[in-house]
Amino acid sequence: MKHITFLLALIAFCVRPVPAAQPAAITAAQPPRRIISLLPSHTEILFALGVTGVIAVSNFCDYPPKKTAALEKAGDYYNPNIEKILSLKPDIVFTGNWKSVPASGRLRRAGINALEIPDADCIAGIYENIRRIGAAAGKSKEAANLVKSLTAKVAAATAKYSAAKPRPRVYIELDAPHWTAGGRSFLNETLENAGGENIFRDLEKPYAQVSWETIVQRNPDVIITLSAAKTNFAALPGANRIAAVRNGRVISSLDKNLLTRPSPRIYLAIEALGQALHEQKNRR
Amino acid sequence: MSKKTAAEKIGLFFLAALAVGAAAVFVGPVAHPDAAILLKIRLPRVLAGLLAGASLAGAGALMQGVLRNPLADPYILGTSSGAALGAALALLAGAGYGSPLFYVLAACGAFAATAASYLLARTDNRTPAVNLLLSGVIVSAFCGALILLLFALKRDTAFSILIFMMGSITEASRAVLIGAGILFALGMGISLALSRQLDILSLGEEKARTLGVNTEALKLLAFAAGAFLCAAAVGVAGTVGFVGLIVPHVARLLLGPAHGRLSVGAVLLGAAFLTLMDAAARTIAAPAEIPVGVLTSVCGAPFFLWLLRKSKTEYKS
Repeated sequence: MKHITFLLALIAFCVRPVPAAQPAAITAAQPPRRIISLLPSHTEILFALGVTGVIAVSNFCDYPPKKTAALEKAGDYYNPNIEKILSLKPDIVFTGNWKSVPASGRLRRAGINALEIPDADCIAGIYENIRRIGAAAGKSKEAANLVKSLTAKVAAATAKYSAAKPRPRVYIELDAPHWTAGGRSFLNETLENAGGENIFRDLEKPYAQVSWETIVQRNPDVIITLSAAKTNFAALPGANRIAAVRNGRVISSLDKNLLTRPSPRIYLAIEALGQALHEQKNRR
Repeated sequence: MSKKTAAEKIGLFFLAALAVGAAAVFVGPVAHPDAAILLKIRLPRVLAGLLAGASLAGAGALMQGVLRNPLADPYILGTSSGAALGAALALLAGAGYGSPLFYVLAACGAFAATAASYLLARTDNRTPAVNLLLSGVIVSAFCGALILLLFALKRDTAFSILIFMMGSITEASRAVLIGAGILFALGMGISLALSRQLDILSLGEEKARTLGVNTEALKLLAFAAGAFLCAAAVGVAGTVGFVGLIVPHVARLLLGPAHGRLSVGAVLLGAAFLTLMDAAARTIAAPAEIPVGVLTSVCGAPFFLWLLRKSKTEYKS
């Protein structure tokens, strides 16, 4: 779920979701037995909670790899495969919440019990989603435990890197050419926890295209490119003025899904980013 | 309208393009740039904007003339979809922005799509304008479908291709600028050499043939020139819309329909217009950028309507 999530995240930021009406009560006494998840982050949370009733996931769901690969694919949250979903007779469908995407309305009209939970836009939001998904899937106690252990892991990863000196100034390229994440993006929090400083923290929008000359002028120490289409930074005019290009610190090996998905693997994202930013440098 | 001669007006347009180009070097998201940023980054971007705007307007004037259709634009023969497909393939092959292969494939796509439209339209050694328009639509749709297929198979590059298709001027290296400049010079050279024949063609294809114009050779040369010009533009600016459609009409309203002066005027106005819009696109929301293709339409359409109303004459193509 890469660029499309990202596009929709953009839209989601423009139109802040209001809390959705909760669907017909599913009590802890009768947890849903047939569950479909249409959002990769929700899928990861469901499996992290040890929910066993997941019968289908979205086309974008790829983690945990073995489990998701074996499951039926039910379209995705902006274009769910209603026929497939109906034929699977789910008790509940976990989906996203974007006003511009009519998917949950379509699900409801088809008589499907759809629970809208917006993708988290900060780390605290992941905890909130874990609790909500846990409550709806009859795993409230497991959810509380997961939040507790995850909070500790995030704190440990953050403690390891966030105070590391020197604090590199980082340019993140999400999509070529020059789409980056601003201070209000999910990725910005991860980056700061990993001990990096986002050179475009001042952007008003969470995601935007920026000018090459601004990148050159702000002179990042490290460039992290998560774009599938790679920019050939060294070939662009004035590239040798950028410390990251001069010092060979253009990093393109990080997993975009891990870094941009608000999932229970967030502590691994902080670890991966922190390691890329700091430990590589220490070895040199 | 003032009583200036066409030559004087063209002179004014030249000064306008020069002034906009010079001023644009000092407009950008970095408020107090040093000399290196001005020369190495701002200047190439301004040159790319001038070149792309000039190429698009020149190609538009040429296509409107040779197809005798006021709705023709540089992309009418599927050129932009071909370029986008070439760019998409380059991105999939790992040749991203900045790589020479990216520009080469975008230009090749533009050529291939134009040639395909031309060959598809050809029947009995003739290429009627209606056939050309239809084959252009078909080639466009086909390339568009292939791009969507690539989106579906490789979703993670979809967004990068979308940015290219929206049109955004990128900072090109010197080699790319020189390559685009050569394509522009070739295209404009052919276009101007065809001026007289295109003027005769405006009387109608039958008449032009009886007056001794080889209309088939004329079309072939004009499409080749159009593809050269488009290839020059799409490499550095993506598929910017609107400039190639409207700027030639503005030039026609101001300079009259004769192809020679019309296309020179269009080239100068197109260069000034796109450069101005790009300066705005990179500055208004700094450090964020607005896709320049959006601005060209938002600002260009009302201006064109105003000009059309003001001239109060029947529109002559």
